[in-house]
Amino acid sequence: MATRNPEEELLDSNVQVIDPGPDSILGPGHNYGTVSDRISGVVYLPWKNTPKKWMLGAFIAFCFVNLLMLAVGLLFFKGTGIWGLNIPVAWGFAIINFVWWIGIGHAGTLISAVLFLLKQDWRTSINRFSEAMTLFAVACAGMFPILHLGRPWLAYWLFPYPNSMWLWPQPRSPLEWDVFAVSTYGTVSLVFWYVGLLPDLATMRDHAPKLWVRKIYGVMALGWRGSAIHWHRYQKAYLLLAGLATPLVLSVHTIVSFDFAISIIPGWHTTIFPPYFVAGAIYSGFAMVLTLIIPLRSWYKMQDLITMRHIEAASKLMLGTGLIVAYGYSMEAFFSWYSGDKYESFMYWNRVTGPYGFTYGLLILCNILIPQALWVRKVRMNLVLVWLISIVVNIGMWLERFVIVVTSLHRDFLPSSWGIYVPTKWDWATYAGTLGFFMLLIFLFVRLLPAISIFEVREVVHHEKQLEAVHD
Amino acid sequence: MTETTLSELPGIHGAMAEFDSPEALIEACEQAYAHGYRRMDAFAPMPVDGLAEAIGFKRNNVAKAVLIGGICGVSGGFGLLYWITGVAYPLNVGGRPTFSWPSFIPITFECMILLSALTALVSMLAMNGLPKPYHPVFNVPQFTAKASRDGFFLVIESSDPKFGRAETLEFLSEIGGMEATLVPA
Amino acid sequence: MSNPHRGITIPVAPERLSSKATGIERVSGVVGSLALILCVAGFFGNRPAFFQSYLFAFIYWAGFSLGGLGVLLMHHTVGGRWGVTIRRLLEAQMRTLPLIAVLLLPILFFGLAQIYPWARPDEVAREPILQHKQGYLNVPFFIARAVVYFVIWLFWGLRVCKMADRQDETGDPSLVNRMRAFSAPGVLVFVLTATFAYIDWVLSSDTQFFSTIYGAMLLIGDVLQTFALAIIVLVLVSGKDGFQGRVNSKVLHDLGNLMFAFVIFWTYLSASQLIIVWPANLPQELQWYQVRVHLFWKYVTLAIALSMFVLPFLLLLSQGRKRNPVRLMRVAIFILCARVIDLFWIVEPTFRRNGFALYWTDFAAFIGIGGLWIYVYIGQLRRRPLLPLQDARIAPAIPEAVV
Repeated sequence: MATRNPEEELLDSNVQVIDPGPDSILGPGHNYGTVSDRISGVVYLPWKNTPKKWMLGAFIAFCFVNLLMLAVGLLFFKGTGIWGLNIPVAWGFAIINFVWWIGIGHAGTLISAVLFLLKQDWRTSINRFSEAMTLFAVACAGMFPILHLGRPWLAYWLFPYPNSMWLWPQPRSPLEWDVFAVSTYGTVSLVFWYVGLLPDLATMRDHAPKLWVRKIYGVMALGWRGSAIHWHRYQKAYLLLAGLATPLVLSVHTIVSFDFAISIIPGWHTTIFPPYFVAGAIYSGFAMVLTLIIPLRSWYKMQDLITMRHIEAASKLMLGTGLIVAYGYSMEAFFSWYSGDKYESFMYWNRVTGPYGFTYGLLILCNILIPQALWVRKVRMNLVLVWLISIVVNIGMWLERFVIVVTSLHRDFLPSSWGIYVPTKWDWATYAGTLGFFMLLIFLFVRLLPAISIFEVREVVHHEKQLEAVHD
Repeated sequence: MTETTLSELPGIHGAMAEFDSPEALIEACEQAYAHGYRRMDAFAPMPVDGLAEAIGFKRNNVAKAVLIGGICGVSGGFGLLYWITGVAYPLNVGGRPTFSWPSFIPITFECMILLSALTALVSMLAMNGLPKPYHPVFNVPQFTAKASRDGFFLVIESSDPKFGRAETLEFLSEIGGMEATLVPA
Repeated sequence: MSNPHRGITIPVAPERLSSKATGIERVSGVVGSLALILCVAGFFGNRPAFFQSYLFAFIYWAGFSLGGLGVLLMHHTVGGRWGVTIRRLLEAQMRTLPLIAVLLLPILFFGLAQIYPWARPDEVAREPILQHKQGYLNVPFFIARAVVYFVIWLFWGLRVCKMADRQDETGDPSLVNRMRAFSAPGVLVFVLTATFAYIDWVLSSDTQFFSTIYGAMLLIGDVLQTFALAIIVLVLVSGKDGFQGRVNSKVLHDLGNLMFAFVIFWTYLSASQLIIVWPANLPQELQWYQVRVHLFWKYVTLAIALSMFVLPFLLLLSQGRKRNPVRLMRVAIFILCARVIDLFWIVEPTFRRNGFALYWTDFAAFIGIGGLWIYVYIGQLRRRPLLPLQDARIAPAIPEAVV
């Protein structure tokens, strides 16, 4: 084990952290009490004892948030002209980043809702974290289309409400579908996250060392007291929410893909887009989960709660969804020729060999070739390699959206309208700013709220006790 | 100790005892139910299968509420779109009919999910009587210390017709409850 | 934990299938052969009509074989108690692939020009788009591809079944991992080959239409078919007398949920294609839908929306129905019938553009191929015990020890 400074000693003063390996989802020797103390202890830690890495990370993220403020402030002042957008590429970074962020959010919902419905108990240690990730990613995603509006302060015009001009949004447009999809997704993710958090907030309230902390958690816990009847309704509501969140997450990225596919732009108008976008979203989401959780579990000494089992399962799911994405690419490539449509074939040829050809090559490398290393168990068991691959996939999925948005648009139907898109420094600043915003929220979340669902880990403890009883 | 508590407390919420495992709590609940107690509540730091049933809970109406919410979402959403495109603001877009039902599917679906999810949250909280910042059980120190950590509690309420301060406390101890105590209202 | 699980009893080794199954096997063999003999008359009578009917019947029954292989490989890859329970049924479905290969021969030898515009030289000379596709859609390459598909499918399917047989004999626990390692890439190869098989066999019968979701749409339908068939057979072999026993109702519930999920998945893919094609309004795509809402076809379209989505969706929402063997089986039978209409609607309107039509060969070919398929399927089912009892993962599916 690496050398530890005194603060980190405090973090787990009396607990020996053991990763039980790829076959178990919980380290040995835990009971109902110890899991509660371990998880809530991270939050109760006095500020001066916060890990130094947390402080540094949060500070860097905060700097990027300031950059975001600057970029957005300038945008409000001068307009979208500060971005590299122009006809024919009128969508650029705003939509690339929007799709990228919202895709990252999807794995969070998938981990908590779908794996819950499939009774995969390994989700327990990472579902809370993934839900938080969803929420923050949706916050970043939602920012982009609004900033892209030109007059972002009139964003409420997107909603159908009775107004003095008696004008209504156009519900036959996929852009209006987006308004409903993303706002529903944000709301339902928040509800799902909060409902999952409720019993743990009660735990936090009951054991907080300071009165004011107790009061804050007390207000958020709504007076939860763990009554059996409450639990019964609670579980029903949670199950239903999971059942609703699952089709929701599929529908959201489907609708995002409709933004492209409903049009008749070659490269956008293709029927495989809905399932392939959904798979890509989950792919990038799992990559982001791994990118975040591998360092965090070691900083907070959580190896006995987030074990190699979790890492391996997430790696396998990443590999599987990546292959679905590869299936999408191959269908696109084959049908661009099979269709016999000259615009379609030109689009594909230009995508591979045109001015942005290198992005397509990189995309294939990052999204399809490199992740194949995950077939090897030794790679999946190597934290550094998994972490690196997850970053490669994040980059690859960003490139995918770049390729879809830019290469399809920059060669319009008429050669006289062809153009080249180059992002400006403000494009990059806004993007980097949202990364910082996202990271800051993640840092604050693991500091202020239980990052692992305490009551669900208690259920795992209970389950293992029952199994032991059967074996005895 | 028990004697003084019995005489000192003017109004009480009920009698409480702690059990050392979920299984013990379920068994105690079943015994209390068999003994004729009806107004009681069990507390656990995590959901325990069969616990609510053991204290006689039968009807969970959350799913019904959510179904109603979902139906409202579908009809409201579709109705809204029909009304916008067909009645309030008919607009010819590339010759497509004003009643373009395939284009209405996505938003209708989202409205259904949104209303169902909000109904799930609100109905669960409302049926549970939450938010409720004050509740008598929090008056018991061992409850606050353990109920949300590793304690399993049974409370028999004083409104139960069979409730008697001394008898109920004795009954709770008999069925294996630890530290049976009265809960001040 | 203590109360016995309500469930269904599955006969295990050495009982295997009952004599009743042998009866069904014989009857279907005889009926199938008679219907096929009748088809020969159709072949000489009205050849285009015969091949249209034959293609539809072929695609429907091949769906079970392909779906069986796909779900089998998927099960070995991801595990799950539902998969161990129905593995033998899936294996038997997979083992009908040689029959499917033989049944493709009439199309390859006599039917290409009847079915596919690209195999008719005069039409190719007229249509530039067919000339464009000549590099892919030509007779020798088409046949070569069909051979490759079957070789790949049989290789993967038989190999994985062989390992399963070895597991039955030796009970070697390491085989679970080896089957997984072998099946995981198999899923990938299977999905790609099956997609191209459907592009070849069905999509290419339409001169212009193309859709990138097409292969996935047909494959997911096959998976749905497979789960429906598995549920029916599972309930039938379990017998109606004892509902307490060896396969607990949770497995049935799992299978019901899976069927439910694939009803939704099928709808999702089909609706996505419609939502993308309809507003874009491009002629080469939209004509595919136009013939399918032309005259009486539109009622068939409506019937599919109701029978493949609305009804099964509403029926399968109920938890009770998914735990009740007989009621769940009824839904599964309904879905299999709905799938007949669905595939008829996928295959036939391309040929019957002037409006809905039914030929007697539609029935004869369907019954003929179906009879033979069921005959081979039951024959395969009879050869092995119905549960892989040596697989450790069977434990959660059977509450008490059986052996």
